[in-house]
Amino acid sequence: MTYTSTRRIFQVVTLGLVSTGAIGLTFYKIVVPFLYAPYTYSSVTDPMRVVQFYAIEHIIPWYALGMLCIAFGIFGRAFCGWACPFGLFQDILHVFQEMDLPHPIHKLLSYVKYGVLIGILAVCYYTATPFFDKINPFATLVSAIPHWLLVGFAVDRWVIIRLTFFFLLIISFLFIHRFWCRYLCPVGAIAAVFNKISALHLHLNPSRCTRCQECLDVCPTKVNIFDVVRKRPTECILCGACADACPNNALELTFSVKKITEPLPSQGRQITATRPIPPSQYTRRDYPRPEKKPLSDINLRKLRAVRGRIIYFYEDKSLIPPYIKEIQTLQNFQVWLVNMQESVNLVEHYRLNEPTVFVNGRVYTGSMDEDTFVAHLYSEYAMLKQLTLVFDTAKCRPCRSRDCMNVCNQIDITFESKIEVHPLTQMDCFACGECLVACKRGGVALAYGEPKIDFTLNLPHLESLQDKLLEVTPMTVKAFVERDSVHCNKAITMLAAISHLSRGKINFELIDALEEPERSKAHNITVLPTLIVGQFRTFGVPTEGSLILLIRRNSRWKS
Amino acid sequence: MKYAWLVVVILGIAGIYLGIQRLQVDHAENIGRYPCFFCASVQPEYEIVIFSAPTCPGCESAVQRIQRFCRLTGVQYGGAYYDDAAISQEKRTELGLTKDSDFLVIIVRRGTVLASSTDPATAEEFLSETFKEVSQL
Repeated sequence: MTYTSTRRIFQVVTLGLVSTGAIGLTFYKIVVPFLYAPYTYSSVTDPMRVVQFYAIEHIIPWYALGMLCIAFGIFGRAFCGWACPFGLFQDILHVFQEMDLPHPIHKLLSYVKYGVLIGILAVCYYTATPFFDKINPFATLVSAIPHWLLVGFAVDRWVIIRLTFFFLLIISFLFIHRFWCRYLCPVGAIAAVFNKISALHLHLNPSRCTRCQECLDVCPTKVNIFDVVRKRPTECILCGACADACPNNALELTFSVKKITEPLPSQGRQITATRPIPPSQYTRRDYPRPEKKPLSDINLRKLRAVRGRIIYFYEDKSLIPPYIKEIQTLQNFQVWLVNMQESVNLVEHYRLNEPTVFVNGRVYTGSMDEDTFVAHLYSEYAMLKQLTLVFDTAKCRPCRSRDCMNVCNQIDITFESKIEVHPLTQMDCFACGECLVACKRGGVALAYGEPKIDFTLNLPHLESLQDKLLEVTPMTVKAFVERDSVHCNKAITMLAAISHLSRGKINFELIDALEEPERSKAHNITVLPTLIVGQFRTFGVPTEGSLILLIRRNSRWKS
Repeated sequence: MKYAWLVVVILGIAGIYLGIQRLQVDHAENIGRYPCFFCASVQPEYEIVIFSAPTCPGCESAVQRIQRFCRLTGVQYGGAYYDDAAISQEKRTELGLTKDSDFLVIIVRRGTVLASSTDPATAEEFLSETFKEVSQL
């Protein structure tokens, strides 16, 4: 018999026992350890009512607290799961089982019930009124609603408050399992404290647990079951649903502190002291070696801090490095694996002849070993973090076509200032340059540092040279720049536009000459910006045509 | 921590013992029996009036228990009238009652006597049962 079926029987039996007032049997000396309320057929005493009345009289309810201590000390919150009639009502009403609150909200709301308990006691103490009786949802269910149906009622403020509260709770019960028990029940708040030490508790046998997480899915109070070994959860109502769901029987409700009872290696034989054996007689034992992870821990840690988009064009799937597939599982990366034989249109669009990797829309020309690739992703994101997308709203304002917004849904110009600055990382932008080319007014630019954009790109000239750009071999242009420089901003904007027009074939790497003096010295940089295109370099800001000329020359040189 | 629950159970037993000494068991039983007007969202329109002889054994205790009953349930307490006071006779006349016992507790609703009892020992039970019946609680 499963815990759940036994629990259902207990719940129904308890419901019968607390309603024997109907046949004249009463046990009013018993203060029950769960949410209750007096009604026509009630036969036991409601704990909150006793506590409230004693709070009104400013006396400690020794008897009621003594009963609760014994009940909760032995059974913990099991009464919530196994006996509370209002818990049974919530179990029945929980229809939409797939829904629940997000974990942070659940965590926060879990503390509310303690506030409810303290609040009720404080109100009773200072106002001398049993305040909780006016809103007790169980009283509404078993006392107020039947009374209204049989006798009728006069609408007053408390009736409206009571009904509203009750029907809001009903709605919450439909979607969130045991909403009242988890977040609001004052009796549950008292019981929760005892859950830490109660004799009855949930026991997890770690040797049987495969961490399949079946138990987590069924838990009505969203307890982290794996934590029960280390600490007793206050939220657990000891319902046993997790134990029923566990395929390996690793969980059970028990009164005793269990020890692991796996068979010992000696199989019961007595082991006696023997003489040490010589090393020549040592038996070799093959210990399982840890499997090599597709992505090292250091690289994984690095990648968790960055974001990016990767498109991997492959011909043979088996040749895809395993770490790329591992990166695919990370939430902060968008990875597309494209079969070149199947996606002919894409291959045609990018004019690809061989397997190629695009990182953030630009071709990756480095080595495909794991460390180098991860380092590139890391430095690429570090570069993007420094850049901002700048809109000259004086040019944007008269624009009716809003081409930049049409090509990218991340752009949202608010027109709150003359120069509008949008950091790339805030708007999920990877500097693909599409908006720079789309804006025919030259109102969009990239900036490094201060948004100084006193320039306009010669876009028509660039676009006229697009065919030539598409013929070049993939390459990475190194741009030595400095912060807050209008010339450097122009060079960066030009590179992004060229990168887009070349469909990602021209990649660029921004190097702050002042922050990386060793690299500047190695390349003998004397003027900023300096663009290094393979064997060639520019001094100062090049014109659009001259830069493309250098790119083409370098492409021919390489080939 | 292994046997902390045992300490709690012992504390609970001690709590029950203290409660028994302070007559809280009977009090808890009474609270369980009392009608709960607030639970059913009913406004009690009743008044409880007590007539008592000054030297009656158990009457003073009954008066205190009825006062507590009124405080906890929200029923209006109409006061206790002792036979040696002139106002007591006036109140009896006003309600149309005659003196035929040392103790009399009556439930009044809008000037009409709904029910009465002369037993001080079972006064609370009488009030609880009567209120449950007339209010359909």
